[in-house]
Amino acid sequence: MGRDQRQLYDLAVRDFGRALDRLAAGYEADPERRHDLRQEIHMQLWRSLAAFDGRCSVKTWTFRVAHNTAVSYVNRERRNREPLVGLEEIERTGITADLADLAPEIDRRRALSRLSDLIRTLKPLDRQIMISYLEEMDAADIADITGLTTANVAAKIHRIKNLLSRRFVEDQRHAG
Amino acid sequence: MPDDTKPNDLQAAWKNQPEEERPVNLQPFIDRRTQELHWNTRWEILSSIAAALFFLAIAWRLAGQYGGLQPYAFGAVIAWALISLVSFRRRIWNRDVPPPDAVAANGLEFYRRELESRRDHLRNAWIWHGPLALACVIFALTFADRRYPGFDRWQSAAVLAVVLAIWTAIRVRTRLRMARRIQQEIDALNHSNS
Repeated sequence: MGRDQRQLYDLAVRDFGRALDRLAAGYEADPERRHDLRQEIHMQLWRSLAAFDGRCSVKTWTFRVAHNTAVSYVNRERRNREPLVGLEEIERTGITADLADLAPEIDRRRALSRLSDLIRTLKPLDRQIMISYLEEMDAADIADITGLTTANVAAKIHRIKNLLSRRFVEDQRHAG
Repeated sequence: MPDDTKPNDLQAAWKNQPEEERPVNLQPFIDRRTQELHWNTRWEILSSIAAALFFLAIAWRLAGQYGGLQPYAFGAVIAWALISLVSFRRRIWNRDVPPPDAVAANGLEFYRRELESRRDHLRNAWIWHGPLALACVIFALTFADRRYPGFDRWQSAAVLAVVLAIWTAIRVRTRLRMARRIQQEIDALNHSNS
């Protein structure tokens, strides 16, 4: 191991701290619980970095730990037992159209709120891809984090783009 | 194909969302977790002692009063509970200290492991609920025996036994169905990335 745990942790928090906060928001809406989740993510990150062996980049490591911690957290704490859905199912059933109906006006905060709601209905791996896409990571980075093939991730990103575009088009139609 | 500028707007909105007001402070979090762990451990030890005393008292009372089936049956319940407890503990101990990098596995691998562990827990439910069901049957037989000694006790305990059997069957079925759903999700995961 080259660098020590403290250095690696500081580096990860400096470079990805804000992204980790956003990631937590994609898993938990309630501010108190989200704060707990953020702390848990940081604790797991700190603990795991003791075993960092350079098998992947610090960035990939950090996001893997964060997503995995959040997935465990969601499984443990989920109050609403409604089944999570996949991107394919959303595409098929047009859940986003219903969401668009709720808010005719387009402003960034509402869009963000509805986007977060949408993310929280997704199955874990689709959620990881969606959040990573919103963080502007490329397919190769996302494949490293999720363990899916790059082709599979690229196909999912294509779906996400369609989904988000369609949603915006419908929003604008309602706004107009 | 829809244009890509709209998702980019959302990407910008996502990245510019308001900052969290409270900073992460690990020490109070660790302190709270440690305290919770102490409470849980203390509670588990106390409840295990209480349960052991309760079963011992019942076994002693039954041995004095009835002899025959009940003390042995309760002995079986206790043995079952203890064996499953030891087995459960061993599984927990084995998993309790996963390597610190276990959480750094890729998402697919980690999620699959989570699902497998939930599936196994559902499939092994009989280990944890079995002693309680057996204890209920013995309890019913004991009181039936007191009122209707001899063969009639089976008849008098039949209603409770049937209710218990139906309840057990429903629970087993529900859990197996949940385990099957999880297995389907695991299969879909394996299939989706092949």
